[in-house]
Amino acid sequence: MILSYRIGRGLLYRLNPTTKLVVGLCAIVTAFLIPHVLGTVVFAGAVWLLVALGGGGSRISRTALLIVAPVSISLLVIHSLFYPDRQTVLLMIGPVAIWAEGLAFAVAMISRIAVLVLVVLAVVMTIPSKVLAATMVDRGLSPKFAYVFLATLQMIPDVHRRLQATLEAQQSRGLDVRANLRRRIRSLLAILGPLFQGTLVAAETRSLALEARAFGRKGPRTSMVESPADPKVERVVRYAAVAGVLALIVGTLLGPR
Amino acid sequence: MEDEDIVSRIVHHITKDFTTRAWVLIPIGVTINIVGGLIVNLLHLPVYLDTIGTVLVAVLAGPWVGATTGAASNIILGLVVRPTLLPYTITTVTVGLVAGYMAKAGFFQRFWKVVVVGIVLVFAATFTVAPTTAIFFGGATGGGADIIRGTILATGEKLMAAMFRAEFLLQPVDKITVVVIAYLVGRSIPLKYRPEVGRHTLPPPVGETASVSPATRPAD
Repeated sequence: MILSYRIGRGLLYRLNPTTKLVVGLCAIVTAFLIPHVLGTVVFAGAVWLLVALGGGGSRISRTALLIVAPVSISLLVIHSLFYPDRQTVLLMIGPVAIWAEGLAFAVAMISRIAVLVLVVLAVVMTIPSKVLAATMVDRGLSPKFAYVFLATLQMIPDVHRRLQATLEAQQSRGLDVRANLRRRIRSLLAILGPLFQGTLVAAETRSLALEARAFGRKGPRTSMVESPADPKVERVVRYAAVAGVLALIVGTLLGPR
Repeated sequence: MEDEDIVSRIVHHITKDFTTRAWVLIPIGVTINIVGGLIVNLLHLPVYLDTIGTVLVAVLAGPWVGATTGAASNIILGLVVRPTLLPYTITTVTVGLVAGYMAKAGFFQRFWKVVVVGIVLVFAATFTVAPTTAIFFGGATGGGADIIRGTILATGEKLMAAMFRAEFLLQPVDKITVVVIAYLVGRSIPLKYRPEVGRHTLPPPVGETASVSPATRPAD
């Protein structure tokens, strides 16, 4: 499953990606700083509501659920049963005790992870990756990192095809993907060797092509993708978010434990 | 003046390996990391193997290029596949640096030394993964390894201590397999296709002599 942009409507789609990144990062830091379970749950709920109403709708909510659910199940099981600082029994199911402290810890962690996931989804699913890269270059990121980002995204399906071809070629020679562990480790080498060599040799051609287009030169670049507008309101919102988080950090450091 | 000199020396030390060919290797390293993960699923193997590309690039193109590959891997995969990978960026950066510097020190010249690199990487990974899992995820990541983490927590260990013990169980097979695969694949790449660094850190492929005449060597 690849998280990708699809055309949509709403505030999230109109915002400058820098705003989404900065405010999102502030939200993640906040989620980890809020000390009480209830606070983290309310905060995660608020973030979810903002994302859902801001145009994320059911698509982002559903994807977030798919990612958060497995971690949540693990956390709930592990901590409600075995939390290290367990003191209060909340519930007895037969011989098994559910501990209140563990449950609270698990719920707080799940809320924090949910905020992290929602923020990432709200950034990447509401903007084409090319525009995201162009905006970052505008903000001072080296175009070389933009190349790494976009080239990787393009290369993933390509390498997947190569993997399929290598796998079929080796299977025609008798490679068995369901054999015992030793045989499977040997098949691993039989697949990886040719696959990686092929890709690395192709790198040679790529670097010559890039060099011919002045990849190594210093200086500004022009882009075929225009980065979106950055209205004054959004800049104010970004500064406010950063100031808020800084205040929260100072408060946490100075405040009572 | 002295300070500036040191700073510029450090900057030069880091940036000198970033040739065009090194930059091209980074996305390839990232996709190799992804493929490693895919194949493990395909063959139902009990390891991750998602740092083969990072180690390979670190050995072929230098520690900082390797670290960049590691960072790019987790940031890109974190953005387009699984956001929970983002905090583990610190681990993949460390893996790239350790593998790269050990390669420069000659640790990828012989097979038994490669195993030593694997062991060092087990420690590097454990000391970065364990705190990350404890602090960011409260001790679970939603994968099969959670069974091991949970079992250790059930014995009454503190969260952080339990995460360290779990990683010491999980990492050895993975990291040693990773460096051995990276070594075998890296060694089989013909000298003329390797970046400058990789011509010295790895032995030449079987049947090739160590020196390549400048005439047949393409410019970096």
